[in-house]
Amino acid sequence: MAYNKKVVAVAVVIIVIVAAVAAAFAAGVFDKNDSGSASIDSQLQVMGNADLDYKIDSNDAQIIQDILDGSKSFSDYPYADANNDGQITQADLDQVNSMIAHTQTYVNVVCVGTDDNQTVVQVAYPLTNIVIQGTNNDSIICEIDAASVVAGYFYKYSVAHSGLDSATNLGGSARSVSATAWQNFMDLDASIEGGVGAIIADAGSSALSNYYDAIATSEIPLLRFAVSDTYDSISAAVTIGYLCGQTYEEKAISYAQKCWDAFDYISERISGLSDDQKKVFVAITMGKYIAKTESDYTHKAEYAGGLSLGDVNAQFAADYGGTGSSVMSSGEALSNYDDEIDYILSFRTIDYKTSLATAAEEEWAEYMSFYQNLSCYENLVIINGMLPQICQTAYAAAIMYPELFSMEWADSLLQSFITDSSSMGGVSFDDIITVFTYEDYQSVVNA
Amino acid sequence: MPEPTDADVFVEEYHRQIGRKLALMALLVVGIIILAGLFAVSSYSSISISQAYQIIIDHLSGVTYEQRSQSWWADYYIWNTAMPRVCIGMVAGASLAVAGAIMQSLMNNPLADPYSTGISSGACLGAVSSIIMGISYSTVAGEMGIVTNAFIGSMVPAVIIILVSKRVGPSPATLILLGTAISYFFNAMVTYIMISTDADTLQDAYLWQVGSLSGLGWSDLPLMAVVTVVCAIISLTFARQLNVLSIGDKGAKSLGVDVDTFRVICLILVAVMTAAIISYTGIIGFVGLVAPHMVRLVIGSDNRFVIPMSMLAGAFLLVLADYLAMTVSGVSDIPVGVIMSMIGSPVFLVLIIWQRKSYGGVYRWIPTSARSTCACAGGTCCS
Repeated sequence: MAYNKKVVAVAVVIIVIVAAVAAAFAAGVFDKNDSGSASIDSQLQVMGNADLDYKIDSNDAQIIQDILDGSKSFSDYPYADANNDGQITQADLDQVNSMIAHTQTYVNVVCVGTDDNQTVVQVAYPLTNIVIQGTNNDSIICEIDAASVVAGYFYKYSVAHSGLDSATNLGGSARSVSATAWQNFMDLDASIEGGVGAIIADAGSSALSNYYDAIATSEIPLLRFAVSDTYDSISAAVTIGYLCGQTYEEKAISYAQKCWDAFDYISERISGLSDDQKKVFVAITMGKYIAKTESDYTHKAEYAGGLSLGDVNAQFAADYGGTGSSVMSSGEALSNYDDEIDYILSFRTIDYKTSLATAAEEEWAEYMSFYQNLSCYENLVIINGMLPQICQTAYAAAIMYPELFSMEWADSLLQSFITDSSSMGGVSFDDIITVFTYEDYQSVVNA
Repeated sequence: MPEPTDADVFVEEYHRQIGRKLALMALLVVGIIILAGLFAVSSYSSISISQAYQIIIDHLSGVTYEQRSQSWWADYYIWNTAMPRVCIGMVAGASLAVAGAIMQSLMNNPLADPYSTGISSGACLGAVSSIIMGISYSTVAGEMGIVTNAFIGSMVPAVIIILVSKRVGPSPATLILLGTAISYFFNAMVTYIMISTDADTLQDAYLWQVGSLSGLGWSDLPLMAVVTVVCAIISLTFARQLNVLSIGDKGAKSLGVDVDTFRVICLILVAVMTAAIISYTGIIGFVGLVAPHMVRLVIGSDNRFVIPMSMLAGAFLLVLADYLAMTVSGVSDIPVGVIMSMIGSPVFLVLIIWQRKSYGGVYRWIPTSARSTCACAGGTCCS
């Protein structure tokens, strides 16, 4: 009898546990993703993604149905308008169902217009023969292994973006598209049957501004995404992956999951830091440009738990408030704030397989005159802007808070990206300069 | 063989003159057509020059191409990049050349050009104050704000000169001196504004002054074209009076020309023509100075022919300079003002050395019997 009571008790416990787990699943507690544990808080930027999460699924179809039934309002779900006709009808529901089944022939993409306002651009699905402008987009394409969809690019880094070697090099530089490069683009467009599928460009760049009229007249879809900010770049990756087809959509989601896992990890560990405990930083770009308080580079370090100098010094906030960056004319620019700076985080793009000696000369020595008289000079750190955006934030966290984040952890994060992407230059971890510190410079100089 | 009579010589000279004029006109027109083709090829380099001409003709005939085919792209770029630039170059060159021809006759001075009255410095001040300080004389913003400012600025010196010359008399010397004085003053103000700004803005302001046709499109052409055509027609009606003016103020007055009023009217004409061009293009020098002299070297100094031929010569010169500006540098456009100065300066030197006819004198037929005696206006021989 006692034995039977025990068995019954165990069975009840098991039943309760199973029921609780089932209820948790139903409530979506474990509805994170296939592989990781963090919630992917990125947005798939296409019309039809009614709930503005990272994918098109039955939830979106249900929302549209609810709007049609009158239980939900269109104004609360503007992205529910899948066919972008300004109203919610059965056609929107049909479009979303075809998007779930991946049988749709077109998609309305929400991106940045040439006037820097939000716009909607219709593209064929899946995208083929895309042309890329902007090295951040090159990186995203390589990181989600979508290089085979690329017909041409205006500029890429030779090693990091070697996954794009089979595409046509149109010419141009990292920041501009020359007339010759544009001529090559026109020739490429005329030579491809059906033409270029879309141009994917960096919303923070004006490299194509001379050609906006031509792009509009030719009706080539121009998709401008904000890819400089860490958060925005993940949404861009999810969107680009989706547009390239189901295979790349899955890779992009996997990429996003890794990023959000890392974000969660960082957020948890820095959540207990008070402002007094946080490290004060100045972000630098292009070697000698001070990133302003709302710059993407400043945000990268803030995501890592850093405190922007603009948050502790009102004068700096006044002088360098807003977006973008401001060039330093001399080392005097930062001397007024020397006492308050803990770290100078310089984001420089260093191609893979660059030697330490080259980095020392081109990245450190070239600009050291702006910093060497500062008391925080030895805390100048160059973070490689070629790395996946989340890795840059991870290394910034490891630099500023070594007691919370180890370099090994940051290294392992980068390694996971390299392992999962065959388009990231086929390099090994040792080929990459992740961060370049004062100690690294001294070791090169003394060698 | 009997010696040719004066009448025979006259007829022969007449035919030679006509031949020169026709040859010069043909040369300039063919030159412009060739340059248009070269411009077309440079705007879309994947086609040949014959294909470029075919596309131009097809476009004028209303032929369309499959969207985004090579011909479509070529047509788009030729008609949105090359042709506007050629047309604007022609209009600007023609206008500045006519203005230069009028000024040289008006001032009886071979060094006179459209900017002799300080118009360029006024336009500079208007444009620079808009670019650097955001000061605008109108509510128009952006690029059109700079154009509007430059136009209004360029009229200020002209108005000052006209008002002052009414008091002191609009003799050529007075006008030149007034223009010089005004230029110095306005240039000083421009310099002061420019030294107070940052490097990037300074570059924008300086580049505007140098003169360029890049960035201009079809939408910029109508005002320039209308002003040029209207003013050119008016200039042609003034050609005879300009010829008469070349014999001096007293001689012109004795022949019934109201010299003072005529001069003021011509000044206004030149100011409007020049302002309408340089407010869009910036200061493009040497066209107004060199083109009329080139024409006079070939066909003489009769303004009835110099004015229309100067239009063609100015159009050809500026389009040629613009083509060179676009192609010499492989990286980016050199402003056409730079190239024009590089071309204009040696050409002007050559013209000074070769010139045999009086700049403002009317070429007159001299009977054989009278050729031992020099009878050209200005005391220079015209054989």
